[in-house]
Amino acid sequence: MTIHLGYGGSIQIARESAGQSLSFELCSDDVNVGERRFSVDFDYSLLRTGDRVAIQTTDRQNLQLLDQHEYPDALCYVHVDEAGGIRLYRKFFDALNGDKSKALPLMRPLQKRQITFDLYSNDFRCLAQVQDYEFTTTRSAIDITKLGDEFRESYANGLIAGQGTATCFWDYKYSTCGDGIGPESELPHYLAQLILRTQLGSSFLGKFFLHRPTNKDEGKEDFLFYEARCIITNCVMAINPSEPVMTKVDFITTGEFKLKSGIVDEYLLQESGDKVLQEDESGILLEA
Amino acid sequence: MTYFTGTNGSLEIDGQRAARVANWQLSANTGLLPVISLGDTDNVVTTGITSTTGTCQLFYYEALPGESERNDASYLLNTILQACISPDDPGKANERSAVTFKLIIKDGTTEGKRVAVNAYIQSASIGSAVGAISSAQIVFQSIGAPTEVAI
Repeated sequence: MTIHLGYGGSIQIARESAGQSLSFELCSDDVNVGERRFSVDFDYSLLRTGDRVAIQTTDRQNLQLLDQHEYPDALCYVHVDEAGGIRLYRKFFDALNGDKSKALPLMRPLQKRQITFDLYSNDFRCLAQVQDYEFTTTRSAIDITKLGDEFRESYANGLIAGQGTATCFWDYKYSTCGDGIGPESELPHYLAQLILRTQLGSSFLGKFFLHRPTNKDEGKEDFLFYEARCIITNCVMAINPSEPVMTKVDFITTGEFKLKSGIVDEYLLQESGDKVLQEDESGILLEA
Repeated sequence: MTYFTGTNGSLEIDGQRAARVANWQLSANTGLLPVISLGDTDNVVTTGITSTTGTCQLFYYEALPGESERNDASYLLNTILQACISPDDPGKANERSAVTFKLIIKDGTTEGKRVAVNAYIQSASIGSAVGAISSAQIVFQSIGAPTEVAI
């Protein structure tokens, strides 16, 4: 019999919204072509740097926001600066840095355009600095005890719910000290931001790994993980002068969730790291 | 001293022991008529009409093949819920029949402590809710005095 230690566990999250859109009217004055950034007239804090958004015109006319872009929509990563200026990028990593030279060039729209932003599910990224996590599955017991019974009876097919907590060492930006935490990870600060996000909700897609094979066994040994759509319900920032700053989040699941096992699917990717999509927007699986 | 709980409770409907009863309750109310006469300083009453009513809650379920239990929730619901005799005359349905309820607290004797009433069902309701078992709520009113009282 094998005893498994917690170091095989980890959390992956993918950003998503609760199916809500943000819309605004894009005017010529909103776009600063030289700085490759534009502003929006909704609360810009609804967008977080690194969010992947589908931008489209409501009348299906050409977008007239991205230079040399002859389509009514575009899929980009956003960088939101302190003043609410937004830059668009093709790659997640570039969006995090917010470098002007790598931002997509913009153009001024010839006329006002009604634009919508839909938060698009990002790829799963490891949540960095996780100290521990718990995932609890609850099955409600419905009392069906009847007169004359001496033992309580419960109905076996009650509703299933999931909930959990995760404790992380707090961090809010990627460092250059080579600590292994780079843009391929999500930082705990994102969870603290997520619970404050209005309109779009505080949901995320989560994979909670119980067991991951080591690098040399990847592709041969099984992964075991819960996969669920989660809503953050509580976020604690614990500050103590003599201890590391910790972020503790409580979450509940919504909808169906599963305990999966097996070899994780791998997809055909573009150079940017994004999936090559089929017509139905699903990825192309690689043969194991 | 012996106390009784739901473990000792039982309900018979039309002479047959009811299955899947979550609870029952019986109450009797006597109307009091004032007979105060001039010169009285305090309220004087005499007994008037007594009415006996009760409620019970039964789980609604589907018996599995081979199970002999009657779905008593369905039985009682069908007593009051009657389809009209003809669609052309929606105001007419079969007359509702009375039901015999025997409410029993088992005390170790053969018959137990009991009250039996012949009653009309005054209301019957059933619903469906998330996270709850569907059950029928029955309210009945006795026709006259109970037919048997040994409590």
